[in-house]
Amino acid sequence: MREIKADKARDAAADLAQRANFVLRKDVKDALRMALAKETDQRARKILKAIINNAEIAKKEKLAICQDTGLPVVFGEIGQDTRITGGSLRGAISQGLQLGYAQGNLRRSIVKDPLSRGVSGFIPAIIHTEIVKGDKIRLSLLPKGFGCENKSQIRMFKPTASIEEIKRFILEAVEKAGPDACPPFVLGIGIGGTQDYAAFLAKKALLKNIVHSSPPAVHRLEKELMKDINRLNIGPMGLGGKTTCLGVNILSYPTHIAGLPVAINISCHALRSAVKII
Amino acid sequence: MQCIKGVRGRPSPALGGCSANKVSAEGGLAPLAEVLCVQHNNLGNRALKAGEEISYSGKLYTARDQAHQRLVEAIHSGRKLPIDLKGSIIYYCGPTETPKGKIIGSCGPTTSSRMDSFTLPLLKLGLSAMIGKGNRSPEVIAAIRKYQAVYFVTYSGCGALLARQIKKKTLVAYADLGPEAIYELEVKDFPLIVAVDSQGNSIYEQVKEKGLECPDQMEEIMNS
Repeated sequence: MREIKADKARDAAADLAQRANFVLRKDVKDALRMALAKETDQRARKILKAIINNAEIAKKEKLAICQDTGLPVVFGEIGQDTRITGGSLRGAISQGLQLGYAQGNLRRSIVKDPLSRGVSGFIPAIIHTEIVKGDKIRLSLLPKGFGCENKSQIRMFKPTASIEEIKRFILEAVEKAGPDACPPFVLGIGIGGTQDYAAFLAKKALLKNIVHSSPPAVHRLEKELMKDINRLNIGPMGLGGKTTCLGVNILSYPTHIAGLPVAINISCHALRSAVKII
Repeated sequence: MQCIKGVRGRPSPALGGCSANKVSAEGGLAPLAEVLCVQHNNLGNRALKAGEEISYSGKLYTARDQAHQRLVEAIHSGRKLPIDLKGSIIYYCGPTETPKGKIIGSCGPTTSSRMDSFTLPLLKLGLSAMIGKGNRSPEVIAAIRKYQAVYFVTYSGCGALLARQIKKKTLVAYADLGPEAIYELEVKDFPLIVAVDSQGNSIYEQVKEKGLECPDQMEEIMNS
């Protein structure tokens, strides 16, 4: 049993808050550069350059990549051979995020009550935990902006639904998201499980590197979706061009004989996340 | 008549001292001020066309969801507004906290369509332009045409880049709303793209037309 002080999780969360919001993920930046190399529409090229330039300014000046510093979503993989001492893990993560967001001059985007709203603050976050093997804790932070979160969708398909039906649902979701959700997008897609688990997988899929390996059938679907979406002519800012999608990340899970849940979590081009292992 | 300093008539309090230059491919520089002036003469804003890119220097007010709700409630209950909407420009933006030594934090646009249901009363009171991201409802587009206003978009998800164009930030109203309070911003060379012009032409329609070489794009993609 490895003892981990809660303070360590607090410090990690504080660091993640700033790293995720100031430094654009390398895979996202690479995807933007690749898109720029392929893009022929002049306005789309100009916007892509602005996005890349924005990321450089943000990193250099320690400014948030986007003013919507998101609802902080934490994925904690807790090794079963760990023991947290000196406080609760959940409390430590919240405290760390509060600290990191405040010190990083990020935005108070979270209201305590969804109906009565009230004064906004940096937290609470959404903290997902999974028990895994080992004696380490892996914390990932995904600050999720709501311009794109608002456009995310879920549908419970029949078990006999065709791949074409699923593709159409995803393409239509992207079309609906359009210019509002800050294209070019990265798509997180969750297939299988239950309704809630598919939604969880869709969000978690956004943590995956845009360049990744998948099982053959999933890989094919990812490639086809990417190609089809980039033909929609939505383009950067929704003003046209070949660059509508930077990446498609699918996570799948076994499901029930009676169903086929499909969730799509849309991320804007400012897909931010950071990881720390304690 | 509301007019802009440096063009003719009385300077607008909200746009006082502003200047803006078209940087479109047409070449030559025309002041945005003149455009806004024309607009307030009810002659129609013919200089700004959907799709055109301009660079604006002058004043803006930030306002997003909660501030809009309060403004519209105040209008409905006949209370005095904290800002003079006549000739003003509203930027749908809620900036991050301001880092030490900086004028403002990250400050890109938020989704405009969430403000659609609050926009008509503001246009009626003389709001001349809005800045945000994404499309507007048919009702808002019709009202933009009716009141000869303009809707601009700016680089979305580029709040760090846009922060460089802000020269001054002053809290004006609703301080309790934090990032959603109304701030007056003085901007210099702020990049804008005309998304809906005062004739009701929309850049998104132009993009759609350009992209739709086949009659049903979705069908074509799905069947290929």
